[in-house]
Amino acid sequence: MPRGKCRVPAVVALLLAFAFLCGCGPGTTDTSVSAPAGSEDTDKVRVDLTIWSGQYEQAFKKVGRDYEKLHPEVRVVVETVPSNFYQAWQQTQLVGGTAPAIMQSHWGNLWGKSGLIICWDDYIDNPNPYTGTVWKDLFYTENVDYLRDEAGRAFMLPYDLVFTGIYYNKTIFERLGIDRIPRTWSEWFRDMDTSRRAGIIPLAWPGAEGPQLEWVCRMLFDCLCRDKFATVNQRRAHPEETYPPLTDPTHGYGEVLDGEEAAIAFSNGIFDPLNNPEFAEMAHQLKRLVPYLQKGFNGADLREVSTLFLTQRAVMMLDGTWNVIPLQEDIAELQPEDQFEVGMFRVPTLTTDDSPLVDAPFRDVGGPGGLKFIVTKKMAPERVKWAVDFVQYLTSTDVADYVFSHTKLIGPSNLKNVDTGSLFAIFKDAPIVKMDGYVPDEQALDELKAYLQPFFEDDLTIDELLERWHTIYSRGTERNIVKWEWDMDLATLEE
Amino acid sequence: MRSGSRNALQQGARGDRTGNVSKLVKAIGRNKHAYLFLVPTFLFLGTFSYYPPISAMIHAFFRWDGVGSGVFVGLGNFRELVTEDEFFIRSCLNVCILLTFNVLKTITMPFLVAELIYWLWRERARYAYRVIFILPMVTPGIVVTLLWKFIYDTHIGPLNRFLTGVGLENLAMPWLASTKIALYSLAAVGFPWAGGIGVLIYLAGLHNIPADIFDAARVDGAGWLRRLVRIDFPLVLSQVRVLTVMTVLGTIQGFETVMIMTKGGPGFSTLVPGLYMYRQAFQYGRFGYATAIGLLMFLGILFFTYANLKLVRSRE
Amino acid sequence: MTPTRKMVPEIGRHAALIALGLLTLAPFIIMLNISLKNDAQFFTEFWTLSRPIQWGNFAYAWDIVSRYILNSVIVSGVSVFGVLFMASLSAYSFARFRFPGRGLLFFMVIGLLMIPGVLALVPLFSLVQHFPLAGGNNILGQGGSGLLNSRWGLILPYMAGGQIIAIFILRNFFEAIPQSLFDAARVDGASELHIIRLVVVPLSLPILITVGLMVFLGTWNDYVWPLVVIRSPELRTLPVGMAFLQGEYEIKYGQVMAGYTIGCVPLLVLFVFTMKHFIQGLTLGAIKG
Repeated sequence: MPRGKCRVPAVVALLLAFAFLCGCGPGTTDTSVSAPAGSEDTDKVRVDLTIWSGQYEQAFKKVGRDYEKLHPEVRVVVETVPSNFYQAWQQTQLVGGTAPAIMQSHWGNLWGKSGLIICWDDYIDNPNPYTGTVWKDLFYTENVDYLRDEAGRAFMLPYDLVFTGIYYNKTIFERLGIDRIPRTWSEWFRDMDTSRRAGIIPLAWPGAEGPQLEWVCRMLFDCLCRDKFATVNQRRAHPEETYPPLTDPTHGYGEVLDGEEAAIAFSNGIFDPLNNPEFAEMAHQLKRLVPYLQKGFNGADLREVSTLFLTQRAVMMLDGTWNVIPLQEDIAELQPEDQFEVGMFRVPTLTTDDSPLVDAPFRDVGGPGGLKFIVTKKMAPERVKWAVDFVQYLTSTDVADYVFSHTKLIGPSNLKNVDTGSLFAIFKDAPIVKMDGYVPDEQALDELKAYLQPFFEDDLTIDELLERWHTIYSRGTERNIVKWEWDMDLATLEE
Repeated sequence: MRSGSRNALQQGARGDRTGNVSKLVKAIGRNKHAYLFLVPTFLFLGTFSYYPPISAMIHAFFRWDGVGSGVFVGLGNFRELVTEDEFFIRSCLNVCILLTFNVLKTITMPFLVAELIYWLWRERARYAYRVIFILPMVTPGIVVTLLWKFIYDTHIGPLNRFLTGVGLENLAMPWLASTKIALYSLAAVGFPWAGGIGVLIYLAGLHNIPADIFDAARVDGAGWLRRLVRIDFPLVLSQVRVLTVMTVLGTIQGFETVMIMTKGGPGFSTLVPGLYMYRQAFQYGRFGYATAIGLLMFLGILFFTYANLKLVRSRE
Repeated sequence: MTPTRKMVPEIGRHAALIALGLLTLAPFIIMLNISLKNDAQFFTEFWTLSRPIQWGNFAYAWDIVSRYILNSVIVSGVSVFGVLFMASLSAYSFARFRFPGRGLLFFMVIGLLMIPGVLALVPLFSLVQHFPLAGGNNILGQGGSGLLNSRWGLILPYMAGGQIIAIFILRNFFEAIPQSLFDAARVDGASELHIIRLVVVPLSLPILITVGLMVFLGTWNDYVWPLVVIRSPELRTLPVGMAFLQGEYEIKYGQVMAGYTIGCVPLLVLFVFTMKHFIQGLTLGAIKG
């Protein structure tokens, strides 16, 4: 037997041993739930906050340290995780009971329905120990209300706000001789024509991802279907809702439809695409934009839109306030001769010039921003208490002031007394769309987008689109009736 | 009572069951090493490979949000999938198209490249080319996907840049962004479709062909093309079969590539069942529905694999 | 045979192979080229080698990517050992013994290939979390977090899944080993384990390396499972780490491509060391119909 072969088993055994030891790395001992072994602060309560909006991380960490000084029995851990597959990750963590105490989330209502997270209504009427006032007085509560689920429960607490608008290249506007901001679609299309003739893409559009399509749909719905609202909104006053009566035309914050109301409206034919010309009109108006979008817009992602805008091949892009600071930074990094000035204006509105079906100018899309807090329920009651307390700390005025002035902001704050300066001045007192049109659920939204895209490419006629739109609504309604156990009875709407 | 049983049994022609059982027990006892060796494998497979899908498949008959226990709905999920869900049906069509292309890709280019390499004169050259064509396999799949996504980019991707640069601007299409061509762009990923283990596997097959067959062909005056089609290819059918089975499995189950490149869009032109299943489970929370899709995918895989094995019978 | 007449096809073959080879490698050449550029060069001088060469891209990317490489190496490495060990035993069993249920058991192994992996995601997660006596769990699997957020949570399922194709390939190979070698060993009084160690393993080294490489590659490239199981950043594997490289709103292509390049290196290195065996293994007909 050749000598080499005898050594093989020994080598293999050694490697296996080494591998075994590696496999047992630090990960296995670092559990965050019960009885962590071998960590120095076993007696401290661990309040971990996990976000994907990394720009808040530094400020939160500093604030966390301050908090630890105030409360030595608590340890605050702030972590940023990647945003891909985030929802799946969050779900598995919540179901598995290993979720962080506080998390950023868009899907609080989903988890809340399954009893995985706390309901903020149990807490926001209490005084905030760090400001001495009732906690909910610190917020623009309309935005908390906006996030309530079908049963009126608040599972997400919005920290920041976002608005949408159109970023434009001021330098090119000047060059093209456009000297005033468009306020209506006619003006806007005139400007877009001007830039198209100059060989510049008028509007860079992310067809593959991003909420842009949804926003524009909501705005169109808002201005085309405003008159239906009185018929549809059957719900009497809910005590948690704090916005002014629907009849006040001067107030910006709009009406809220809850899912069941909208579903009833659909089954009564009010929101039915096959029954109302407004839906065809929406599709038609959307399609008017197509010639002004870049080639391949249906598959463009947000990165492509940014790139086109930054390289000055596109003169406008529709996006949210979270891009204000990143854009400025990106421009600063360009070569001096490639830099340009950026401005932002509110999305122009449809008018009766564009369509006789227009009821009122549409309002901006805005509301709760990316950072909405949820607190896990499946953990020791002490941890829940401290988690809530920490969120109260974060939302107290001085702390929030610090956070918002030391973070690359995505928009104004949802806290009333925090001023974010000139950055978002154009949105001060901006009216916000709360009437979302009818979107049964996320699947319905994706399906609608999936049909609009071939429609834009002339692969689907308007009639085919409307038929499928109807199908989307009816299937979505079915799903919701089953899921939320609605009885579809107007009389029982005020539970 | 069949006469064959007389030979099978040692206990005479009565074929009594006790005789069968004790023979079985003896056979088991004699082979206890065999079973012992299988224990670690089946322990692992049972726990991690059998239990989860079985649990998931049971849930295909439920309406389940992944958290609680779900509500039994019988065939409800399947009915909805097959009769109402245009997306699912479209995804099945898409995956069939992709499957066709992928199989064609597998049985043509790698084979051609293997042929080219096989007939080279020098061993060093053969080795060098083998290395070149296997290099793509050494890169992480996600990198290859991201690279191709970049290549296809409408505005800054090398493909369109190249086309614009040589004056063929009208050909610079929105490859992954048009509902009409996105699926075919996906199918074309990996051009020239020769990288990976396919080449090596075909080479192995070619090596197995006895040299006298080639000599006979040459004597008969067969040109290289005829030889390739009539002789070489049929003789590597067992390799073809293995590769096509792998292709079928990979294509029907795969979705990470589509997810990263187009997310199933634009529209639903590149939606595939695997991606749709993931979306239903993790984005819409419809786990029961998603596992129903998985079950149908499983049946599809069975069908195609069976068809594959039947159609490609090797002549060894 | 007149050399000049036969030269033409040979040149043709080389020409075709070079063209196809370049096309095959083109994406990687482009990747390397871009990794040496900054943004301005990326937009204006796309096809040429830009100067000055932006080596800084690699420094930036390395900072991010190196941690993940180590994790991937450990996870994939341990998985490979486990798979080879168990699969060899089983393949040997299927190949050399005739026992009742042989066909059925083999089919039960191979049949798993057809089950879509995504189907198992949530139940598998639940299983890993409630794994008895791990991570603070009691014997019923309750109380702690099981194998979550640990490398074993990745390794154990990989060890299961990897065995399927391994057994398939190894069995084929083991069947082809001449019976005479086994008879000789048995005559010498060797036990079954001895036979495996002294006869089978040395003979099948190329095939074992081939299979090991395949399992390594498969586990190395997995994205969804590590994302779902691992929470701590220091334990993340490479594909998940690559996801970090992409900013949502804009990508610095030079840095990102540098990251991708670095991500390719470990497998490349592994390949260099095992290439000969791998090619030999496949040529020996590791994969037969």
